[in-house]
Amino acid sequence: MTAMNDEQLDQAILRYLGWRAQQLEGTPDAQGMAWRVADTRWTPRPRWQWSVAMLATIGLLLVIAAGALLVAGAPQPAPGPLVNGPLVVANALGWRGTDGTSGAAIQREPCDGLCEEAMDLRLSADGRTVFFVDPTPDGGDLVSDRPGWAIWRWDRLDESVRRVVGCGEVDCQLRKPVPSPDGRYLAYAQGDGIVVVDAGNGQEVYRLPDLVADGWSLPFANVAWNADGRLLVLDLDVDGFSYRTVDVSTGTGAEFTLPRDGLLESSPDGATTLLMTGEPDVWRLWILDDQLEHTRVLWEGAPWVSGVTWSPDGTTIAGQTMAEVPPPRSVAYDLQIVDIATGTLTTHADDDAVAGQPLWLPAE
Amino acid sequence: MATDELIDPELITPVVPASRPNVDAGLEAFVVEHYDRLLRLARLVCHDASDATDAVQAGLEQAWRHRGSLRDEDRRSAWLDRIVVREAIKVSRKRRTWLDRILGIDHEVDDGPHVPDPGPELELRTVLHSAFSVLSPEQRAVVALHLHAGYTVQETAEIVGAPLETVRSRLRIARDRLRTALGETRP
Repeated sequence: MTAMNDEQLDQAILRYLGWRAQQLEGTPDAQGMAWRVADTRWTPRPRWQWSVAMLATIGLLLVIAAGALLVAGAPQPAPGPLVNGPLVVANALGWRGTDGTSGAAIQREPCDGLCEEAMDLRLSADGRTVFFVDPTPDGGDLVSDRPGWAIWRWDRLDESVRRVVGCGEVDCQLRKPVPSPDGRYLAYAQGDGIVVVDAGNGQEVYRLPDLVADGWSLPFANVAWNADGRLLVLDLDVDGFSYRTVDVSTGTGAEFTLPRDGLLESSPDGATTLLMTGEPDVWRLWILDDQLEHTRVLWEGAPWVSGVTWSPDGTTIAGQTMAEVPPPRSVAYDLQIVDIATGTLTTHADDDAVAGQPLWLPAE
Repeated sequence: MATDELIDPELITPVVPASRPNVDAGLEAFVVEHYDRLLRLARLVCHDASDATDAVQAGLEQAWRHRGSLRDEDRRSAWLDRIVVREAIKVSRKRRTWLDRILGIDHEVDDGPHVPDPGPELELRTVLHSAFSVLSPEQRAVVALHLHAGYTVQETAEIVGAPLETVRSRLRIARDRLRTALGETRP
């Protein structure tokens, strides 16, 4: 790396910007631009032309409104299932990944602020929104960033990104945002507890504190959603662990039993729930049945270092594992893709040896 | 037969329209006052000068139509910059679809330094041009507004209509990329 300091960098950038701003070949002069601006559809028209245009517009709106009423009265077709699109991994180098099925590589794409530091990316059940955590959203200035945490929503239709909820303190870690199957709520882990907010405006609707007692190694509380819209939470008490379902509208819940503790991972529609358990070197994925009892080991292997991402059609999960390998690469990160029905495993080697956050997007 | 009768008037294509629109003197003064600054600002955001021209034209049209809505004349320049920069981002984004971004397809026009200008400054410019071209339009916009036009981060956030945190993040990422590009090319 060069020894260029911030001031020298700024000077170099400024000189470049000054040069680039002069690259104006082929542009009109000011008089030409004034002419172009004047000679547009926005040039004021004679009043009678506006009247005709307005009448035509009103007529068109009436026709559209009548059509909308007819359509609204007709039975609406059910939305079709989502089709799997690209499976990408976001890390400090940008997007990269595969098409998720054939394994064909997708070229790296530098991200534009969305994925640079994004963590815990989670697609909504309708495939329209991606929720993610940014660990430094409240960065102070360009020299010394103040750490902080926030959860953002990226609406894929208009490609807008806005903050749902945030916290500017170092010890206020927000993790694992999980939208409810109906899209109304967003649950996330805040320290040792779970918070549920309105997914649209970030207003808190429910809070479950103190779910991770001292002595447990889990870095943050764990949450998932069931298909019936209930929260699934793991309570790590000093005396042991328990699982329960919670109705966020009433605060009532019921316990359910699993023979071992682990992380719950539910599909975006809540129809499938997995339990991820981990020994130091071997992690297992158990699939839970309708009664939330684990029935079989779906997969076992190296520890997952990323969150789980579900394929938009809910049939497959993917995540990144880490394993030690001989020099010169001491660590290898691989993208694991597991078929929920068959347990079939597909592994994509990641040559960059950089941990990333997977996200499986629906097809356009 | 008179010479004039041999020429079909319809075959004569005027270089400029036969009758220029009657440009309002106020509009012309308005454009002349702000055009150079806006064009340079848009040029920093857009892929090429043609896109920048389109963005400025669209921005000036909007501004002229809504000029009555501006209450604080002292903020006229910032108001115009906001309109034009947003148009420039919009124009640039049209060049890149979501799929393009996933697939890494960039439509950047290579209008890099092609005039012989030997020396370290050319190398620096070439490297920065390459790195600057792969920044997103939003990142280019905040760099242009903050570093080139001299707006504060808060003012830049208001102009691009993004949260303060987002603007800071974009600036930091842009600077890191430009710094990395420079570092990678030097021993």
